[in-house]
Amino acid sequence: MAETLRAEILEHYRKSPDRLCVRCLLPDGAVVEVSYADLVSRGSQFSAEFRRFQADVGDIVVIILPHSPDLFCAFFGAVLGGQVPSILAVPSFKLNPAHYREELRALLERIDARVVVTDNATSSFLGLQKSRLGTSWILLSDNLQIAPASIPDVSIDPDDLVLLQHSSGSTGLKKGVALSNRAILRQIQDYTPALALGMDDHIVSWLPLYHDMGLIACTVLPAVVGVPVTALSPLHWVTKPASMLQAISKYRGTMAWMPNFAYDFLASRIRTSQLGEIRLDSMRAWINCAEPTLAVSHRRFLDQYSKFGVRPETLWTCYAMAETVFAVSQSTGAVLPKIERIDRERFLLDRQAVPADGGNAPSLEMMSGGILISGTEVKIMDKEFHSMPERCVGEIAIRSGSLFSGYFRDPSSTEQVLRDAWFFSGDMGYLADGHLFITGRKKDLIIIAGKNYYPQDIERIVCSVAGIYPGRSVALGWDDPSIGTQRLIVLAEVQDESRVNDSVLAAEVRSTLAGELDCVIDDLRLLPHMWLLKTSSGKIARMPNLKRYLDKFQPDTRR
Amino acid sequence: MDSISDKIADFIQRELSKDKSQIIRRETQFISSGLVDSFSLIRLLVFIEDEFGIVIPDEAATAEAMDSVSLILDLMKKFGTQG
Repeated sequence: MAETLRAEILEHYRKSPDRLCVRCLLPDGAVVEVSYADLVSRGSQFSAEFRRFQADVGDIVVIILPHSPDLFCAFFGAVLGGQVPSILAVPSFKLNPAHYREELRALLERIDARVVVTDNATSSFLGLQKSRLGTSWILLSDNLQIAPASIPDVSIDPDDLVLLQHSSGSTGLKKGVALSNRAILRQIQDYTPALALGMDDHIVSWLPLYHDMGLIACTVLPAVVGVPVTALSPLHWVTKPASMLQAISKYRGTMAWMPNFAYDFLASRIRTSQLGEIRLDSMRAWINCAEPTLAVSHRRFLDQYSKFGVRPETLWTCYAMAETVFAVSQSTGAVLPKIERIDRERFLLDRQAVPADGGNAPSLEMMSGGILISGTEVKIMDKEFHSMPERCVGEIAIRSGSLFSGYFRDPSSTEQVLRDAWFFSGDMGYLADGHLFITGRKKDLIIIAGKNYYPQDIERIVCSVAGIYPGRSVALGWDDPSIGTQRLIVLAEVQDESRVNDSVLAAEVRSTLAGELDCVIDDLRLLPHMWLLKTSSGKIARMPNLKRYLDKFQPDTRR
Repeated sequence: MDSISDKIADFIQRELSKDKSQIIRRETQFISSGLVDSFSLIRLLVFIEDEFGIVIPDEAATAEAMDSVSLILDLMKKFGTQG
């Protein structure tokens, strides 16, 4: 294997320039195929433009483009030129453009991005009237000259950063996970054999590229291994989920990664009678990753799609995070995810994962994230950082050859999670019989349909609404197995008690949150002052308030 | 008899809205105001197809183009006569 991502892409380009790299299925039905030659050619044009705007090797280039061939070409163009690409989500039409623009400006200045590449539609939506936003140049992909550019001639060290990944958090406060060439290629070296990924495979993906699962598993990994990808627009998939299944059938897809909610979404929202003659038996892996994995979601999916050729042994699981580039553990057809029931009381009270005895005692069904991939070690740690034995629930700490270089320009956040070369994930879990089980994701992180939200962001925005008591709201994620993901509960105290049933205030809270974070509240409760419970140190306590909410309101579990 | 507009508004309020107390009117922007998430849109598309026999094509069925009953009626008018 070469030492840089750039060298790997160029190797494919030289050996098989016409080989398909990405097939973009566009919402209007158009199909655009991007070969390695196309990728390098168009990518070199992007890189030349980045250089023209003074982005040299190691400089950050932010990419805000919709699903399109240019999204892939701009990303790999930066890789070829040694610039460090960071892909951000295209702002939803729901967002307040002025607010988003200011948050983006703050992020660009903090990471010292030289260039932002976007398209006319996004630029127009955001009201970008000048050639710069803050200190960054704005490059519109629609206007990019098509004159050929030579492949950038740059020298890149394996330890140089190759990409910056921003996922969770509101735009202005996003933490950037900095990844080196060495880390990325090490991950690919370790993950490829776990998947038995080969050039006969074909990945089908609707995942966004601003998320590690879309970017690493479904873009960078296949581009390096030489596996073609058929890529759909995430926005298109939401309203036409059958499009993914039709693409698998048409192009004989073999692998797909999806968050847990997608299994339920596909099982419940598509009328299989209308799918026609599709066949899904070419698939050898449906990989469940990015939010807690539920065996019940797999069963629902199988119930719906076994008649189309989905086999139980193709339902795999993975535990992954951007800080280790991607995968930590993986189950496969040879090592299926382990499914077991554990005693609920022992789990909740003693933090022990004791197999249920089969009697009437309440139990929880757990599904493992598989076994550790090569080059990765995991310890389960207690609060005093002592390693714990099997079946004890604690924080998952990871040592890996593909560990990140740190949070970009944020040494204090980096120090908080690294200790003696171990990465403290903040996720909770246990080990049993070689399998890693995840019992809870990062402290406080809310994951809805694969998208991460920090409750602090939600609470700050809710409390900014006039009429809500400052500092007295709480955002809670509540696991709902019936939909395979979390629901968002917001409890907010009002300044004037007469407004607890004020639908105008409730609407204002909802629309403000949608406008700033593109986030929909499942259940919003306006409450009198002093309803929320605080800890002895004066902080709003999330778990006690979730319990109080559940006891008091007994929410409807239907959606 | 309910008008098309009332039927759609009623379906959104009853089946999709996160806040049943908020009345969905013809111009209510139910997606951008945070009442309905984009994952519910497929149910709305199925409802329109079942109830009125109109299929809104993939490229037109975006959250932005379906943000109000009024916008949905425009789409139905556009695509209902072409089928």
